[in-house]
Amino acid sequence: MTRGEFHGLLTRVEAKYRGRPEALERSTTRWVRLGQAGVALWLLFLYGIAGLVFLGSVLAEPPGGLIFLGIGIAVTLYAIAQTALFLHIDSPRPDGRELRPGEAPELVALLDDLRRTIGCRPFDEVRISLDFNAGVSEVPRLGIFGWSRTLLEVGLPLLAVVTPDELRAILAHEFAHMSARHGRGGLRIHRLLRMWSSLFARLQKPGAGSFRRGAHWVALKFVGWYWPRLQARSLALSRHHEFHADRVAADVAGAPAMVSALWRLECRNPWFADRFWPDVRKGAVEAPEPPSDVLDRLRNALSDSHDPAEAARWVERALGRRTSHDETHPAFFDRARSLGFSESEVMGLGFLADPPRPEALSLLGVDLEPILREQSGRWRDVERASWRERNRRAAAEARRKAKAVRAPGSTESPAPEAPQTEDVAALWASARELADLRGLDEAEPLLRSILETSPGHAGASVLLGHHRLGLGDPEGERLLWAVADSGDEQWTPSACQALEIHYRASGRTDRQKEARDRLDRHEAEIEKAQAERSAIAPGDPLLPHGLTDGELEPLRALLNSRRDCGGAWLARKDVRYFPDRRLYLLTVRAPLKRWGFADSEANSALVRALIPKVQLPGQVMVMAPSGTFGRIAKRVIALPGSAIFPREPGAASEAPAEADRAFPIS
Amino acid sequence: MPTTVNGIGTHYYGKRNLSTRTAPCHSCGRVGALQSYDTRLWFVVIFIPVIPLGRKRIIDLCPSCQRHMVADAAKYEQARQLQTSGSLERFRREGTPESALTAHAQLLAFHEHEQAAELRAQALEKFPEDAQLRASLADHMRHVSSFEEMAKLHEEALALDPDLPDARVGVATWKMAHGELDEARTLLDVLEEPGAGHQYNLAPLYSLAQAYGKAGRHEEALELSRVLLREAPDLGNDHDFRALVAKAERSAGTADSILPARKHSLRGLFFSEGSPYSKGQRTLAILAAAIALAALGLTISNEYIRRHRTIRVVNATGAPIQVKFDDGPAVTVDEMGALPASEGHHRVQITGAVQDSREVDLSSGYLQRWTSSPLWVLNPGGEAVLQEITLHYAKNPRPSENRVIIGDPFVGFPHVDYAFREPPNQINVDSRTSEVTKVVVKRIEGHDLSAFESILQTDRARALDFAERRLKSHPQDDNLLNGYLRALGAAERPRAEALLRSGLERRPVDVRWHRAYQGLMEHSGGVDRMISEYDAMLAKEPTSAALLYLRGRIDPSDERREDFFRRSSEADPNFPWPIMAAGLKAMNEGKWNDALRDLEKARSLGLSDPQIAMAVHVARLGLGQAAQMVTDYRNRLASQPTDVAASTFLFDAMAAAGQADQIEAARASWEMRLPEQVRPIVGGIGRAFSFYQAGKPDLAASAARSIPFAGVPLVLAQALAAFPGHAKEAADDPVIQKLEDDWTIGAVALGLMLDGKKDEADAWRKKLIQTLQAGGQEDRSAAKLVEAEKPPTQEEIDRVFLRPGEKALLYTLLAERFPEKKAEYHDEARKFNVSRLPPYLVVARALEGDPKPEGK
Repeated sequence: MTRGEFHGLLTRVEAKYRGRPEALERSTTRWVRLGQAGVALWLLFLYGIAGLVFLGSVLAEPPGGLIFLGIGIAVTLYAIAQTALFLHIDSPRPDGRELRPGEAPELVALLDDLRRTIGCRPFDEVRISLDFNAGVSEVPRLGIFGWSRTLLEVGLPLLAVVTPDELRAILAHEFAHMSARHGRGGLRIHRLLRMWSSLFARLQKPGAGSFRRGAHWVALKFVGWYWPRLQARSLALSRHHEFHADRVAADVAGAPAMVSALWRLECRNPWFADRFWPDVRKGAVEAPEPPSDVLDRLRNALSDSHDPAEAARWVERALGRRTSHDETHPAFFDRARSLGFSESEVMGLGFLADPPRPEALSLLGVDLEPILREQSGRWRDVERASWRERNRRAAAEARRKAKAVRAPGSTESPAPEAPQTEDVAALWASARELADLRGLDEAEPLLRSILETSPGHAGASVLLGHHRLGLGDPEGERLLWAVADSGDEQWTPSACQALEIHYRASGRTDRQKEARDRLDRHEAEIEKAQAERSAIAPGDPLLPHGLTDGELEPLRALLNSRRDCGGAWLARKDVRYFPDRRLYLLTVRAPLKRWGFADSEANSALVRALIPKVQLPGQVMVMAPSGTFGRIAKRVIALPGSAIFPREPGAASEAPAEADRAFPIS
Repeated sequence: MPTTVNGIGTHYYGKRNLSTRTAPCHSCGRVGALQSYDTRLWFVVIFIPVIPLGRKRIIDLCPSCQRHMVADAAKYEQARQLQTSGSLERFRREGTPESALTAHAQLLAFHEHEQAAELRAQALEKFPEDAQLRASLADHMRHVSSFEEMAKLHEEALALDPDLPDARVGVATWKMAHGELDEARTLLDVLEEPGAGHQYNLAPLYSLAQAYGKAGRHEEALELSRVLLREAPDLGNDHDFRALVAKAERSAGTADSILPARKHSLRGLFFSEGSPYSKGQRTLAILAAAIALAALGLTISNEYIRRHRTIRVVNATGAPIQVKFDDGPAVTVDEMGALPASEGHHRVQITGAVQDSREVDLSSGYLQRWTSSPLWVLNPGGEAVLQEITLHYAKNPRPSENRVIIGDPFVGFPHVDYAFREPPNQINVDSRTSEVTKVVVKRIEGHDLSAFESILQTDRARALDFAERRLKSHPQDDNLLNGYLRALGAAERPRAEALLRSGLERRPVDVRWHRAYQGLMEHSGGVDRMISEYDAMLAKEPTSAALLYLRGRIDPSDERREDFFRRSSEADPNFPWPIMAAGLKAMNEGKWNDALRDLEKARSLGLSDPQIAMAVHVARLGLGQAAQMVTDYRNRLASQPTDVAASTFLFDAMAAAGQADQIEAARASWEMRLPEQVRPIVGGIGRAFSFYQAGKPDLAASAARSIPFAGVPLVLAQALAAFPGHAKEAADDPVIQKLEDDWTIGAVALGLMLDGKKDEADAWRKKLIQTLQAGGQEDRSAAKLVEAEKPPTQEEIDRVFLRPGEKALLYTLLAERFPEKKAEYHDEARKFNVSRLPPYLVVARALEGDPKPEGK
């Protein structure tokens, strides 16, 4: 299913169940059950076969009975293995530090209070992590049979940016997901998702044997049909659950606290993604070790002043975003509106630059400092290897630049923003490394240099376009569309995805659809192009080669150097997709034998010798008029103007005639 | 892979565009010269290519295991040219290390190693400072097993950028392979850093830990294991890793293990990836599961077999019966029925033609339920005759073993392959020496005599009971009646009398039954009582032709006898028995024409007594019709190839017609047409008789000796008696000594006389007299003639009713005793000695002095 088709499905589902959450819940449950039934059917099929074979073993006379018994055992073992495969769910290892008994009594009291208020069972485990998030997860003890342990994960960065009241609202929201008021559909979907993901991973591996290949094909067909339909419903249901959890949280903590918490998250999300973490990681260029106090740095950074333009951009983006069908969480605007805030109240919100007073971290009490130290140290350990790798790459890049400076002819040290070399490939390599190590800001001059030298450079256009788009510059949009329209195989998907994200964030749904459709089209074209270029058939339409004498000269020189080459003809396959990537068909022939017969052995030898040496501006297929590709080769010969060797006047014009005599085409 | 069976299937022929590279096989892992080439797949018959199935590209054919990959040659060639030329063009156009690597990988994927080397050289020249390019190219070379080139590139990469992880790992791997573990560890220090698991693949570190473990450096192995466990905690559940750590900890004497508690998983038993179990444990678990399933399946199967047995009901009573098992409903069985039952103890109630109630036990061994097919047969009233045959199928099969079961109302057989169905004529056996044995159980119908005779040897009482029961229900079975009477000993005659007397009142009168009764009564001296009985019957039915005939038979007066026969014929002109009596009387007097006329007439009136067939045969021989008889018997054999009587008569006629030399060929032809199962015995008996008829007593004696069969001693005795100088052999033979056949004893006596063994001859003559005296009325008359002190007159001899051969023998015996009448007696003997069947040869020997026997 293409993105466009999936989006259409999402729209239909949204329209069908608008205002009918119970019907949506029921429908999703049905689809979940269908998925489970698919698995159950497969297992039942296997056990059924095993049972039948066992029955045969009981009814059949020996030795047939023993043979049936052996087959029955094999099928049963396979069925048990399949059951084990489906029952097993890879549970991700829980992140963060488990809150031990007696620690953070205020936070624990808050959780107990919320549990009593909302009326749900307590969490089995509370963990303090490094994520800018709070979330609930379940770890099934018995695979798809459930009996899960519930786990609440609260990130220290989150605690650092919200007040205790806002945290109460956020935790109430998470409790609501767990409460009896919520259906279990979400959890079932989650489990099913994990099961199918595991299955998908196995299905990607080529199956050995026709049975496994057949089973893979059936499973992939089923999953391809089923999964988007379940996903469409689960997305809509998930959004409904979010709204519901928001309302529960608003009941418990008050709507202003809930909206305030959501707005704080909305403001700080881009700050973390675009400012804080990139700034921290830039340190790897200079320092060989990651900092040991990253959480202290975070608390300090929250107090630092912000670039007002940047903050305004983030606010504009946050308020401009509207709920999209393909997201699990509704947009802030819609969530605030659903909690009773008017449009003007929402649109009047500004960037919350000041750190919260008091901050929710205070709920950790005396345990705060040890936990901060411990988690900072943990972050350092986790990051150390990648930090050192970035540091190594930065050092290597510096060495490379220093070497370029010392190179003969270099008179001054080239600044990163002013590259002197015209080697686009080297420039491009440097630009990418710079963008990765120091960010796109610092790589921009290099990217512009590349585009000055090679205006159509797709990679540079995408990186620069992405950067400018983030800054709200229309140039970014123009650059990305240029790549998307060029149909560059490698960079078109990145350009389209960047555009789609940008349009979704800015609420420009028409343009978002355009970008999505462009990506769908591109992927379809890639698939068709691969099919078109994977085989040459005698019926393929041919075009004149279209090369100048100058472009042909190296090939002619090559042919001339071969004494065993009696003639050569060149044409192009008329390809529909990506016609700029040309596909040449070169027919060569050894001198004819006595009586005008073709020498197929000599032809084959000539083709084998030429294949590694022929260089043309595109794909090339070299063939002889005899052998497997004889019919295509004869069509190339018959194409007017295809003769390229021998070149002498007269000989060139005689060649096709001679070819016609040798290989008449009726 | 192409496959042929007996030369038919698919096969590759041809080898073009061959390229070879040395690398380990993808399948068996052995290093060898892997070949890639173009070929053509053919459908072959006797390895001759018949239908081309397309051109193929064979890729990496292993010289050791012959495994390879195969692709359509045209598609492969197109893909090769288009993909490699496309990626090379991209490299020329973009000139980046990435494009070089893509093109290089494409070329290697299509085994274009020379072109790849050229490209590699170009790329390395173009990017002389690019360490990552070298490390990536080295990785490509590892994939194609070009390890020297891989190591060179890794070293170059490391020299250019000593911190490049790929280069460090590459060189470290090389050093590990060469045992330089500490150097390798130094290079892999980057993988020991905290957080390395998030950044790098830790497989080389794991390999290094394993290498340390193998080298016995467990401290280092343990250090690295700690790092691995820290970076990849899931590894703590991997069996191989756990084994490595456990061994290292044992060797290092560590008290506390770094390993977490093992988490058991069903999935881990079936899939190796991340499994907490070793391959052996997984195999064991799967094997245990398989055994458990097999045990469960076998238990269910055994119980199913136990609960689903069948009892076959063979109802030979001639009327439907009702069979009731335990408390189940009664089931009606006409002839054959199959009733389901479980193994165990059951009560069977039979009602209808037979009333019976009995306890039956159906049981078989636990293991035998799978290996054997037991058969339980319910035989109401024991009426059915069952036969168990053990057949041996082999190149040269042993004779089958037969067991006849009669009279048992319930029989169990431990194993039967063919229950009430015909076994195949032949079965494929593995080799010349092997043998396949099959057990057949079937019901015998219409062969009561055979059944009776076979059981007589082993269980006489049961055999007699069976015969009497059968004769009561089937009195028309003359064969069984005759066999029964033949088998009776003197002590058993009263029960036979009782049996036969019980059938005298049956109407219509069964003449044969009455004749049997009369014969028995003659032996037991009850003739007078018998006359009274028949007179009484005649008084009740004075016009009964049968009773008139039967009354005449036992009358001691010839005149009255003739009168009764006449009255019988008058009462019913179509009643054949008195006519037959007239024919036999004529035969007894040597009047062949009259005898043949009367006998043929009796036969035309429906009498099919075997005695008539024999008498007609002898009469025709007496009339010199041997040549015509040969033709007649040949025709009869053509329509009934296995007719034993016809073959015997044919050989007799051939001998009489001067075709004795052709008898052997005719006999061999006849024997080949016999069913395989009976050929050894029936064919053997036929051989002995045919040799005798051909005038070869020595061969007849040899043939008779080779067959262990009850009737054969008679032929042996006759052959030895006729074989000059061998009569004593017969006289000394303990089996022959037990013979009670009077005229065979007479033949031995005559042979001894001719051999000059006077004393032995006298003893056997006395034995003959005793035997005859114990017989019927005619026998007793004959005994008087044999023991007569003066030569009997012709009239006296004519009055005794004997078969022609017996009469000839009597004449020759008398001729030996009364030399003064030898010529007269010999003339008479010659007249009666027309059939070549015993005692022809001994009589002929007496008639012709001491003739030199034929053969040998």
